[in-house]
Amino acid sequence: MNNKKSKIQIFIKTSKGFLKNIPMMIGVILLISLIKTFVSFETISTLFIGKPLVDTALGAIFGSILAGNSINSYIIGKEMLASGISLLAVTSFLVAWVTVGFVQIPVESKILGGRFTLIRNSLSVILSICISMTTIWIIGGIS
Amino acid sequence: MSENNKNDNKQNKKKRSIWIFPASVFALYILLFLLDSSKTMSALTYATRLFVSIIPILAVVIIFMFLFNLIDEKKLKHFIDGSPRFIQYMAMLLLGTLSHGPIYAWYPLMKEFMDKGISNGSIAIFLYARGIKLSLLPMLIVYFGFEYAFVLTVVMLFFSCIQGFLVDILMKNPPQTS
Repeated sequence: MNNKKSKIQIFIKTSKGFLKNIPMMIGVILLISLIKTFVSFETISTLFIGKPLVDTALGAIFGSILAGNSINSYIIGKEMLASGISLLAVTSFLVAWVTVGFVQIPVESKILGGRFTLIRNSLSVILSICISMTTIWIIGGIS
Repeated sequence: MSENNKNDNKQNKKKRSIWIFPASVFALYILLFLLDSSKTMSALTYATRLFVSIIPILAVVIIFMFLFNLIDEKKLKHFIDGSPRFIQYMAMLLLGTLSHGPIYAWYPLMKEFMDKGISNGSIAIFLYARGIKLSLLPMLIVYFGFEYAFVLTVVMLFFSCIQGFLVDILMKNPPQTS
């Protein structure tokens, strides 16, 4: 009986702790929706300049800023490739899209701590470029 | 007494700060509504649909947090201290790869992990490995080819561990979390 009661208490405590984060999550959802509605994804591809290394860094930055369903990143990535942007830049864009979240930084730092968030996101941007280079290097070696 | 007052003030301040970010976004909505009402309304509709779609994920996260809270803290700490960091990394890599839904839905569970002594690097691995979308792999293959999708997935798995390792090094002396 006591065990059951303590489990209920733990569940209530867990739920309360979780619900505290809901306002921040709603903020992120609202911000993601604004970006998706107001930023034209077609215009993003016009911002690349044609230099592989600069474009790779730009891909990582744009992928970090934009957020949402990964399917959108595939569609944009395919469009970027079609408009002549290098696979290197497209890959860093795809990786940064799913691993970095500038939009989520306020929530992440509030819950997991500012230092952790800063280190994790900065490393994620750098690693998206490293992953892009490694992937293209391996594919180049295979084909 | 004054100590209690200090704590109350601190807690009230913390409670209020939770609302700063959503309130700022809401203010941005009001501003944009005045400039372009139809686009702002469609953003709001999209946000509502997005929120409804993540409710099942949030429920799963609450259940996970509850189950995690049932584990005896002392035993868990003993287990974590006794198990090699590599095992933690692999476990979090697997969990991250299999997890679904938006990243922010998982932050509260990660906070629980942090508080119970799981390393920052392991948490970073979970969050990074979430970028590997197994359920969307067929889509990635259709768009970019099998070879590309396969290589990218394997490279991301590898770099997830590198990130965890680097985060653990850089967070060697993490500040006390309140």
